[in-house]
Amino acid sequence: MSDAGNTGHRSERPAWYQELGEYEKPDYRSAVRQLSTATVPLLGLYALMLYMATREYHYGIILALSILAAGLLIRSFIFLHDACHGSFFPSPRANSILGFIVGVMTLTPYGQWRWSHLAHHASFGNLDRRGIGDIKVMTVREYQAAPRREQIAYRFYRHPLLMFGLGSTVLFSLIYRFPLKGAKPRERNSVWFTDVTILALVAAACLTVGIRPFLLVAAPVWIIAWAVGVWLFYVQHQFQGVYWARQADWDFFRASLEGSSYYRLPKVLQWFTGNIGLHHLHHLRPRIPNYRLQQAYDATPAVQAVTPLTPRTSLASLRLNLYDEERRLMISFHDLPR
Amino acid sequence: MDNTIDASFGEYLWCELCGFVYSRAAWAAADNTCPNCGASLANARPWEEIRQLNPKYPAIPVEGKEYLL
Repeated sequence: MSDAGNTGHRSERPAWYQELGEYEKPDYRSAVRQLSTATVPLLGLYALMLYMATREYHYGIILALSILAAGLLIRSFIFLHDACHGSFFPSPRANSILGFIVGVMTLTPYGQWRWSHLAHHASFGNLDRRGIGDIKVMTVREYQAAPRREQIAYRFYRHPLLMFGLGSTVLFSLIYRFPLKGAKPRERNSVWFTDVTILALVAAACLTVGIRPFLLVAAPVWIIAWAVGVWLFYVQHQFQGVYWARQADWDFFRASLEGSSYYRLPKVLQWFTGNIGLHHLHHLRPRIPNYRLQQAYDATPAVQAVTPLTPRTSLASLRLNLYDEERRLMISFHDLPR
Repeated sequence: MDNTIDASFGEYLWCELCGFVYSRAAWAAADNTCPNCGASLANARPWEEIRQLNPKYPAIPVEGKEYLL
């Protein structure tokens, strides 16, 4: 592939890339259909679970329902993700409103998340532009040169139990309550506005159903959804053979096709995750709505050529911790030269 | 990096990541990236292309303003 992404010579862009532009049009019908089969049932399910919690139903039943609710919450978050790319509704205002609502439901400040996510799209796979909206990856050289306490902190950070367990919960429930370093006033305000709205909702819950039933219902749904969400984000850019390059060599097309995975999931999981597994295609054309991604994939042999990750093969990503610039591959802490 | 942006982009470039429009010179001054979100030229589109999709948009856009696709 040429370095068309860097030089700006548009004529070097492949024809199939231009053709993908046809799938970028969002439409209200598809968006409303998606909302009515995910976010609306989720609200109904929340109501049912709250009813059961206040009537002291067996908590095992509520926990079982929370798995379904978490699936619907993850799918709703994909709508927020589309909205942030301006691809869910045709209207920016509708996208912003939806993004804010789903943001509150997931404890995510939409404006700031959008800002950091766009930064991620602008810099994914670029070793010189890490740090905003991504999962921290150290190179072998950086790790070996780091002080011992930084190495230990990084090992903790990359541990699966911490990253997908406590880490995801701390990220969404605590870290997202404050503006990120470098955030602009608009993004900072979105954090405070989201926080105030969450506080108001919690206060309303205390006054109506009570804080205990509210937390018994909301907490497991959040914890499951956050953990799965972080896992999805992890496997999208952490896998064997992943593309990383320095700024001077960074190529948009290579970063999209080789630095973003195609996570092929069973159809049910693909539905709950809103086609986000087609992540290489999403990075190529971020304005294609989730409800058109499969169609765009089916029509484009160039994106079909990417070897998919499967639920089984993706588990190998858990052992990848550092990027070895010399060998151009991700390695485990255990593979570090002694 | 070569900061001369291909003239086929026209005078104004629309960023498909953030939707903001800036002049070619502004993109070039930001090391060939979007001055708002840092997207690379791969995510840039000529303003004329966006105008064809939205005929009501002005021939000369307001720099630093967000426009929808």
